[in-house]
Amino acid sequence: MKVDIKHLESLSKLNIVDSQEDKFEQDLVKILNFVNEITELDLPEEKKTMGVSLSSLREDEVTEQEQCDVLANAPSKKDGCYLTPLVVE
Amino acid sequence: MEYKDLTVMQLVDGIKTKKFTSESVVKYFIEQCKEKQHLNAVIEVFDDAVEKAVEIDKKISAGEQVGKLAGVPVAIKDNILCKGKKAGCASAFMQDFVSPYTATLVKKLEDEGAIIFARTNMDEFAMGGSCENTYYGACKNAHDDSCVSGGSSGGSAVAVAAGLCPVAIGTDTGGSVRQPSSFNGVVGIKPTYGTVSRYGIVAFASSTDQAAPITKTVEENEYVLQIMSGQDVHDSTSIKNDFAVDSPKQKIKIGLCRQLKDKIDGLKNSEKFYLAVKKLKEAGCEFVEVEVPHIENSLACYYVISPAEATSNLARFDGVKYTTRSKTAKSLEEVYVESRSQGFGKEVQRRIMLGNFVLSSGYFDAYYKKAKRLQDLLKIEFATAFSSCDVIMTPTTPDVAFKIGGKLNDPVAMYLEDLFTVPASLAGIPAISVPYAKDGHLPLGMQFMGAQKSEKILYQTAKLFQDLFKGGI
Repeated sequence: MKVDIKHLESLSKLNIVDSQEDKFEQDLVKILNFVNEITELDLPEEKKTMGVSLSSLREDEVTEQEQCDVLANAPSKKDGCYLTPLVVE
Repeated sequence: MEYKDLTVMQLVDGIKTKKFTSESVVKYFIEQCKEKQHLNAVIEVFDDAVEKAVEIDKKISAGEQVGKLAGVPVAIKDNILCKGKKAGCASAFMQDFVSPYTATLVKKLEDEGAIIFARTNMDEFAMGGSCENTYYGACKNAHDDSCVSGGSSGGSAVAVAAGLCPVAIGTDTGGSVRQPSSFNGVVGIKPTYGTVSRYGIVAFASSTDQAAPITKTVEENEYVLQIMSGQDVHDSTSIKNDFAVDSPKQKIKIGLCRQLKDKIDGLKNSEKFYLAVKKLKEAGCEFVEVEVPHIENSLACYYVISPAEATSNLARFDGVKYTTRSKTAKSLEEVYVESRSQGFGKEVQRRIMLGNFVLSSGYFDAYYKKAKRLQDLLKIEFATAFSSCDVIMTPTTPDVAFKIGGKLNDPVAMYLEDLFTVPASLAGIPAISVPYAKDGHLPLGMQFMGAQKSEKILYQTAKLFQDLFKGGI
């Protein structure tokens, strides 16, 4: 079992410091070897759709949620919007 | 008599009949939290708790109606939202997060007069089985402070066991209520998936996350779970589960899973397990052998599905929306990567990467899709097993609490802790841990699993079991 640690960092939007990369890779390989047994199982074809069953769906509407309460947790905000570094020149 | 020795129902009764006041009860437990600060179970005591207790006392004096939890202090895990209070998932990332709304389960407790008075320590984002992966420092076992509390709801279990509160709420994804309950000698349940609304709980693995009470006794547990449960428009996976109306069984049929026999026989405390079987037989329970053919693959299945769901759920922690942003980041990409790298602890980062691995191109079918099929199959296998028994009995954990630091560098050894708790999580069935014996000074718990929505029979079995082992084994 091999993992491309750089690729996983990129998918995960994480940057593991160089000194810890080897240990991370070893741990991931160890975990994957541990879960690998399921790839070898011979299971019957799936009958159900994947995922949980939804018992009911509600109308998508804004209720009591106050925009300012939610925005209060943002590290940077302006005029009722999240503020990020410039994306488009 | 001290308040910590009373049950939730006795406290409510005492407060309602003015034998004592809610104010004195709340102040007492706040004092206990301060006295036992070294356990690291409680992160924060909320400063409006006494004020709320005084309000309840006033209502009672004025002859007003008060609820089933009138004036009782309740501690909640740090991943459960209560408007205006901090909820940080014990993460550096979320340390300053203030809940913008209240979780449905908290609202239900508050509607019955409960006073949410403290938040408890946990493994960061509920990922861990020892409550060592936490921004606030390891939570210590109530019976031995050199041992782990278990996790991830370690703070909640220790708070109840050490008498810091009469009841605490935890969340259980793969065993996070049952395992620390077992390690600390208290009662913890994972209800049927959907019984308690997940609205206002910070998501880890949405298809198995459930919140639940941790209490000293089975009776209190049932009492509080009934209050917390109910279908909720804000959680489309929540269900109606009126277990209170079910009638009790005359004779309880207990299943022992054939596929787990070797594992149980190999445990250090297997003798105690079989002594418990003997005692239950003498008490009139019938034992049968049942088959759950793929139960042994549950652990591998869980450690594919839960990281996959976690990686999706934790994508929203991006340095834009939730409190913490890297100070050195300049571009948007740097905001994402640096905030996440600095904000998440090691175990969380490991699980995010693992989740991305099993979901990534080339591995999705072999790992994630296969694990989901296995999960479906387990549901069917459990349903078949419950056609020949009422409950299935296993130990809650392979052993008693281990030493702090003992498994921190070996993630797989840590994951093996979940051996007996994970199957019920994957199948969405209820399971309860009840203390019954000790190995030295450390408690051991027994787990009973039941069919979906079978909480009534589960609690009935648990009560019988609790009474049989009150004086130890």
